[in-house]
Amino acid sequence: MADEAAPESPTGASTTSGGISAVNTVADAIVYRVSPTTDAADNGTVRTFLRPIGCVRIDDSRFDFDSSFILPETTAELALLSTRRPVVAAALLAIFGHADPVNNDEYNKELSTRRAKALYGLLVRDVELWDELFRNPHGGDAWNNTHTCVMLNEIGFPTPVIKSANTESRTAVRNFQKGNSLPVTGDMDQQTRKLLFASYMDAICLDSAGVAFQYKKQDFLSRSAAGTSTGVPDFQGCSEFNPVFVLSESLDRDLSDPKRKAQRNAINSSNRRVVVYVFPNDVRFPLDKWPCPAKGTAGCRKQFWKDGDERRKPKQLARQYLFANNTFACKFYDRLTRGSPCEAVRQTLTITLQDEFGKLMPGAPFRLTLDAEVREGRSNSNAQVVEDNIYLGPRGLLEWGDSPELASIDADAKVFRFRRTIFFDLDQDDASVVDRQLHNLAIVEGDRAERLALLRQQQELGNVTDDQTAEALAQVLMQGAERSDPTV
Amino acid sequence: MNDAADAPVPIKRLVGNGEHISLIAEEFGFARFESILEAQENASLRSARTNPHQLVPDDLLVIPDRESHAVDVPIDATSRIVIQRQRLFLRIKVLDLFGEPVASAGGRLETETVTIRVATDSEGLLHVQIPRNTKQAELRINDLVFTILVGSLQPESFTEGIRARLINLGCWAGQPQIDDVGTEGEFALGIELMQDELGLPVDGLVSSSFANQLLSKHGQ
Repeated sequence: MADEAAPESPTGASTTSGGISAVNTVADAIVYRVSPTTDAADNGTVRTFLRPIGCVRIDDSRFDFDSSFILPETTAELALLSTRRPVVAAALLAIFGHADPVNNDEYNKELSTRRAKALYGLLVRDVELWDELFRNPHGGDAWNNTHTCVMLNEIGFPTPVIKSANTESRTAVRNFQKGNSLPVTGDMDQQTRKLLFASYMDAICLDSAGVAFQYKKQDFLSRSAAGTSTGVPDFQGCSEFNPVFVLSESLDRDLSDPKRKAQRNAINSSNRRVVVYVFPNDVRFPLDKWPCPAKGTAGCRKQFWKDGDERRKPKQLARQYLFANNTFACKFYDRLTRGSPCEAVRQTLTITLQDEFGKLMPGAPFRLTLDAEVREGRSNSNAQVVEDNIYLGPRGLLEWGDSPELASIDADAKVFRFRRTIFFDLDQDDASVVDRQLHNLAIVEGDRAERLALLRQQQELGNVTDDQTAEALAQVLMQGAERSDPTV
Repeated sequence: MNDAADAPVPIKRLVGNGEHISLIAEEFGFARFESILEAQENASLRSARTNPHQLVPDDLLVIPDRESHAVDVPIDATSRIVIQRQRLFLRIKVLDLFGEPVASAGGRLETETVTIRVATDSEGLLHVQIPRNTKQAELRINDLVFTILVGSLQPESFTEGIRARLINLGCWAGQPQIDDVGTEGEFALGIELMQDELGLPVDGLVSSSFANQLLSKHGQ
């Protein structure tokens, strides 16, 4: 059974264990700022835009590994999509599939396209597209009896999930055929397949009320009731060109050992994703100018940044797209999506809570408001907030600590003693990281030298009471000393 | 009472969000905006704002007294006095999603007070007279829609001036910064896209050379 979506955050985002739905920062209509003129030689420019207003991301965990087959748990993210873009709305949709850097560009272009195609087929109930995927395997992406069993189970014809058909799975197929007035053969012939696909699609593509929903093909960017012959711009694959997370060189080297394949796959899971972007319905462009190719990577490469291949390569430090802004090779996709919460990395966040004197605050209530979601709870006995499976952007609002005085004013309102914007992009290779670290530690007055001196003073005064924080402070001091006046 | 006490107190007017000099001239009944800007008290602002139509919120204008003009008219006939008020225009090049001019296309411009039929020329340039107090307009050309803030463009020496020009040129550069939670990544994106388009090294940073080339590409 699919999990429930978390409550929507003030930023309009919801998350599940397999995806996220969010509003993009451009949200409302883009405004153009121009100056009027009294001079006939003075003119400005306005150029129309393509920026999404929202997005829903489906994580790799919702697909069978190395496969375009969509698992039943995707119901949770499909419900998010039906809320983000109700079927009666006018906004337009486009699907982008992404693979990880394992395997080669061409293979991954096809795999990522197949995943996008599978989702499109599901959303518009085009069983022919699914049958094409079934009939035309691509490397490891071969729909087989395992998937037949998953589908049969989901629609009420139980069978053990096994790769090769056996008596039990054939019986389930027969029962399905019997129940649907099909010739009872026990074989997955095309007629049976298409009906099974349609039944499975209706079973998993449910809105938040549990009612099956589907879009029309004209709800997608092409606006065509028949879709397009190539799929683009309604769905496309981006191969491995746009990773949201790039390993450090050293970890990449370590994980290239075939024995560590499982670990490599796990750490790359954020890169394997399918994102549905929602565009305003006033978007207009000639379809033949859409730059994404349906097949092959040559057309993708034409859209690369000049240093596109360099951007997606491992460097000394690991990089996240939303922190470093330089991991996508494709300029066109970067242009569409920069800053989108749907391009975040799912990870674990740890924050140590202190009061204004640097005293640790175990058991303190907190609320963390991110672009992607809001989380509330209490710090653990080490005064730490540890949040798993969180889509982290470069910053968030942290509120923490009881405030009895304020609470007495308004018993209904949840009030906290402290409130601070916290930066999470602390592993970037730029000088301003020291300022962000000092900001997180509430050392904000004065120039950098003064703030570092205060930090050092606090450390020497012994306000720091745990090893981990002391280590973090030492790190700040070290980086500050390295990156500012050496006499500091 | 002495002469100093009798002298009129000059009116000081802070420029608000989205206000331009022609709008302020209209507000105070001046036929030409230069009558305000050329006042001695506005000399430093005049030199700071090289394009008079690009003021910045909180710029301080001193509004001079209006000059009186004597006109001789016969007492036994009806006379017609015409005050020639300066005309204000919107002149913008309209580009499509891929940067191509939207040429020879018709549409309409809707301001707070009037709706005007408009058309672009063969280069995609739109040239239309607008009311002097226009602050906002919606431009529809073919099936494209642009929400335009008239008078909100700041000089290129301001971050928001850079951001607005990038956005006008189709390079998304984030929302204007309103608190400490900015959109630096998106601002950098806009700069990178434009640097790439201009054939400059792509580093996401603004230099004076970049600002000049941006200005030249954008116009205004």
